[in-house]
Amino acid sequence: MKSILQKLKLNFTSPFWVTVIPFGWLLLFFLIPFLIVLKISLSDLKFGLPPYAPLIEWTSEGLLIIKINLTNYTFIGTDSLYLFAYLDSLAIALLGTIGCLCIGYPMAYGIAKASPSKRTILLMLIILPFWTSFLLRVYAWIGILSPQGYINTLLINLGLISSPLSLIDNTFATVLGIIYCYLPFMILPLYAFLEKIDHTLLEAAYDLGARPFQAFIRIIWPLSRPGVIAGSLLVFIPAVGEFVIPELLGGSQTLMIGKVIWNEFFTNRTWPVAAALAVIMLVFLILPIAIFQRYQEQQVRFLDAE
Amino acid sequence: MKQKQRRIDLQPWQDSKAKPYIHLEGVSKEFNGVLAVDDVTLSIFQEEFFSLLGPSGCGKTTLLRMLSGFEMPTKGKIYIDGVDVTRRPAYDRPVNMMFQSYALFPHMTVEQNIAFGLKQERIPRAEIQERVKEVLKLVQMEKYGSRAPHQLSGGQKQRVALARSLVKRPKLLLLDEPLAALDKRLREQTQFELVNIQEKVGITFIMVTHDQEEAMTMSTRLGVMDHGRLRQVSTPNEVYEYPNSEYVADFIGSINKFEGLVTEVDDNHILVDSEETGSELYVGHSADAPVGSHVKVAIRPEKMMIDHAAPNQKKNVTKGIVRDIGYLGDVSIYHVELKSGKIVLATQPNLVRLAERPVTWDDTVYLFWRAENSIVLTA
Repeated sequence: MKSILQKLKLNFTSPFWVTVIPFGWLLLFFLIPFLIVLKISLSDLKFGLPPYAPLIEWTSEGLLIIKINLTNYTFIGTDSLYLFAYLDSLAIALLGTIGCLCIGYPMAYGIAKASPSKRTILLMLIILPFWTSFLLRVYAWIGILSPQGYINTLLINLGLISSPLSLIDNTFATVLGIIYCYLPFMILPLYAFLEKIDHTLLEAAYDLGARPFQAFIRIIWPLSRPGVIAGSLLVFIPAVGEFVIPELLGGSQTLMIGKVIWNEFFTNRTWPVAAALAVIMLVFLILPIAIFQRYQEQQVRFLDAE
Repeated sequence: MKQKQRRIDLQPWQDSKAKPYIHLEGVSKEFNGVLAVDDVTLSIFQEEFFSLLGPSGCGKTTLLRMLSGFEMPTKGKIYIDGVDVTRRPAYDRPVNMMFQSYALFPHMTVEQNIAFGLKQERIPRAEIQERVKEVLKLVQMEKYGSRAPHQLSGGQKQRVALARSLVKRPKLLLLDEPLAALDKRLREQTQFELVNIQEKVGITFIMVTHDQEEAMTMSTRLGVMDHGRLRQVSTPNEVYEYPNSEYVADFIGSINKFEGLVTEVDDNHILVDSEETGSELYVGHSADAPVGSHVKVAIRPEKMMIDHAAPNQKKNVTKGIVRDIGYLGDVSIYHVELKSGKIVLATQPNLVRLAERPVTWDDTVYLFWRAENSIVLTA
């Protein structure tokens, strides 16, 4: 192995490769696909395959024609449906993120405080659900929440309610599904940061007169903030564009942007509009990513010293 | 310069009527069935600089943690200034601790770190600022107030940690291996600084250390611990010159020990017959050792005299061959092998240059000492 690399003069630990590999990855799997989507979003609609007109065209007279079509974007602005879909998506993703944080933080803190042998088991339990198909796990919630589902059956049998509660096909079920599916993405980065916090800092705070709650607010919370941000972004960003969960649990009244994009692509076959929607969503999401980046740099500065 | 007369110079532990400031009464701590601290009773006086000395795992840190309130004793009581604090949590004790790792809050500046404890007390902002400034001056860190901990060197962090624990003016300051993270030179310099600061602020200090030199130079008294028990509590001088047990004698400095049988004992001397030395050993103090009992007579290496010529005494003398000489610059340590095969250490100041040294390798020499310089160890 080594000799082959030497023959090829590839030293993957050299500064050149260390930078080229991640950048190459981003170029191949992020920038190029994004540029393709951007290109489609600026194209004209066309019947056929692919269902959009090319952006750059050589005419028979040897003219190079570049047609940039911004109407897809202006069209999105004219129909308030899209705006509401965006806002609903952001709101649902935000609720889901807050829910994940409220449930995930104590769990992550508990795992970080557990003895090393218990920690491994607890982390396994967090990751274990991933071994079942995502789709199946969301589907299972239908069985739990539907009018004939476990919860309603139980409550009716106990005589607490007479007619089933509407637990499914609404925003509540969507948020619940998001919290359930994305919880590990919140717990794992939170755990990673909480586990790194030196326990003597907490003792120092007690020693200086801080009660447990104050010590938490003034020491643990600020030091775990990068983990909170990392976890929140890992939940929030994919949740905004979530398609499966609102499709299965949200019913017709939940209109998230992922579903709208899907409809544009596959039902309406208006690829350029769908692409434009995706580009706008990405622009929305760049902001939180930039904030995350800043905090990560700050954290690196802390850790440098230790 | 005239020194202020300090309460502690009166040696309150000598005075049976003096009231202890910190008092531990039969304190024990058990972890999963193992006694980490075993029935410790100890009185410490105001303005003392007390050291708990012992090897790792001897329970000294656990004892410190019970004083700070991080651990609750399984048995016993802890009093601070007459108040029973045994069951009080750490945040509710007039005690502050300086951690071995310093435990500075990484997300706060030096000033914010120091102000933390004062803010918890809801002290007005102006007073906080003033006190932070004052304590920064005390530890000579005025210029570093706005720095973050990671921008400080080890010695500077140590000062900030000290300032943070002093600023609340606790009744008792606990120091957990305060100098362990510093290099040797800085450590020696800081030892004196720490003592000076302690004298200036007049707060009672209890320090945990495994470094006997540190404990000797800094403390008014020290307690030697072993397996959760306090073996001896006394002034550094007394612990060194009159260790009450073989354990303490071995732990503090090095010591030569000769086994023997007590042949004579009265109020001011003991006579021991030792096969190892081939002579009678006359000890200039009495001990609780009846005639015929086995004891050990111990002499510190620096109290051993060494010469080619036989000394003018029949007791407290032995003979051997110089096997090794450890040259330390200021002193040399002679390793002398006795007829019994036992190696005895004798330290001599290097009064003359190395080449002119009178005693050298393979010389047959006499080792002898004065009766008042040896001690009898019965335990």
